[in-house]
Amino acid sequence: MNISQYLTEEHRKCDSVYADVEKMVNEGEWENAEKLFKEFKEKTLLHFQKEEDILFPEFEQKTGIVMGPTQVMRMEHNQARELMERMEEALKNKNKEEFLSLGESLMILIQQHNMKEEQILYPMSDQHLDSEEMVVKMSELGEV
Amino acid sequence: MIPGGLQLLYLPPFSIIARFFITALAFANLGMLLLFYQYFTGNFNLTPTVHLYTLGFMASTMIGALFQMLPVVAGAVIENAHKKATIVHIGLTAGTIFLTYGLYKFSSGLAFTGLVILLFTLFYIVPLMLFKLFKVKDLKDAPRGFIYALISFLIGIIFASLLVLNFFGVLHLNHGYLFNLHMSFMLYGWTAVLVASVSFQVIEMFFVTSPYPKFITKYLPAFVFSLLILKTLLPEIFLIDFAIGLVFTLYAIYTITRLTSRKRKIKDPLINLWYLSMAFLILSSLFFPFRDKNLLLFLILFGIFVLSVIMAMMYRIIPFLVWMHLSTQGVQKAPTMFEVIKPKFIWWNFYIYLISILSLIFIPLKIYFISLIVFTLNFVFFFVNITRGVFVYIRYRKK
Repeated sequence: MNISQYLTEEHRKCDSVYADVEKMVNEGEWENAEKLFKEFKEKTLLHFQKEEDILFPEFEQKTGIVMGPTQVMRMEHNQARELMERMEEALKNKNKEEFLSLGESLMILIQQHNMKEEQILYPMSDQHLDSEEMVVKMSELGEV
Repeated sequence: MIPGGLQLLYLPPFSIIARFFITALAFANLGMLLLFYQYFTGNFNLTPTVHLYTLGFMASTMIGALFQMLPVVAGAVIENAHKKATIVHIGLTAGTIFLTYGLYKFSSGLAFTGLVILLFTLFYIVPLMLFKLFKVKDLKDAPRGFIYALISFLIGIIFASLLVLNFFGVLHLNHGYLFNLHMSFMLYGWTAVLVASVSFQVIEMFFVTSPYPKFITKYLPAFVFSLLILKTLLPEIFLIDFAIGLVFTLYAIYTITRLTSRKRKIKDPLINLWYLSMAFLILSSLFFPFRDKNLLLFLILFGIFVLSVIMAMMYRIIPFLVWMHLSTQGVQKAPTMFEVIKPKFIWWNFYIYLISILSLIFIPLKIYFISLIVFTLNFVFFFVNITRGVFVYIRYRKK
């Protein structure tokens, strides 16, 4: 399995969990939604960690591109983190409209972010880095 | 140095897309005013009215959207985008006004002025966009579709110029031949291929669906373009129109199946708009080979397809970009998408739009006033919602 396949699969898993959370919130199943959102958040943050701690530094070192796409990806991760904090708050307050509104922004942010990673960053990483070694290193942090 | 295709840092200024979209909606409302005027004077002129929508509304939206999408989707960065967009925005707006007014008044001076402005503007920006796209290595299917759409746009413009010269008696070419090719390249080669190419990217992204089959994303734009070239060389072959219609019917069916099997199941007026647009794409595409029997009906069917997509896209893009730009600029608790444009306002617009479409059943009875009223309401509401969204951005920036 190369970097693209490994990390793209993680994107899909997170998307799938979020779609279920959204459905539960919409139907007013607050307790289940809160539990599942926790799982979604943990999975997403673990995925970010794999990229920020392992993939991006290696990519920057090998390509010499430091202030470029990886910086944008980190910034978008931070935007996603902020949104997830606010969504957690909305869940606690059982504020459906606030949650769905934040979720809409999060979903589009994440989808366009994933698109850039999957179409540009991951294929370049596969090209420049030792894919198998990178996947092993990322797997050591845990499974999404 | 960041290699081509990796310029993800680049987020075009919000003012670019905002001004193109607001201008597009202003043209849509201007078109309604013209229709009212023609209704009361009893002097209906199809060509200028259609071009207020195809140039003023549709092309403004599509060029504005390309300024946004080229760097983000294709990694094709237009340097000094703000300055270039300003030139194009002024040229497209002025050219459209002169051309449509000239066609309406049968004034060759005004129409030629408009045509020259449009030619300078579009032959400046379209080749530039193409050049930027050609420079990107390993272009993905969606931006490759943009290339075919933009080339078709250029060809459509050339046919348009010949038609204007013909119309005012400067040239004496075969009007029917030029008109058919102009319409086919503009509606299917440029508009429908661009919509399809954008959808390859955004349907999956906005609604979390499975991707389109590779044979559609890879071959549809090139296949349609080849059919249009064939149609230019062999205009008498009726089957080419059938083939174009069938390709887009197939595409629309695939889009509908993507949407019905989407993972995000919450109610969303924008999904309804996509369904509506695909239904009307199917209707217009199947009617395309028979358009000579009722050109106005074909144009209405195709127009509803495009208007529905534009509504679905603008209502998603503007709120997202307002949040994204403010958030990137470090605004604490930047307004979320629902705060930029409230979903209930989008739902209301959707219902008004549905009523507008239903009102078209009165057209064969020669009752036009109801449609005029509800379509005007639709465009005013659309304009107000989008403009309010843009003002949310301006207000937060001032803070």
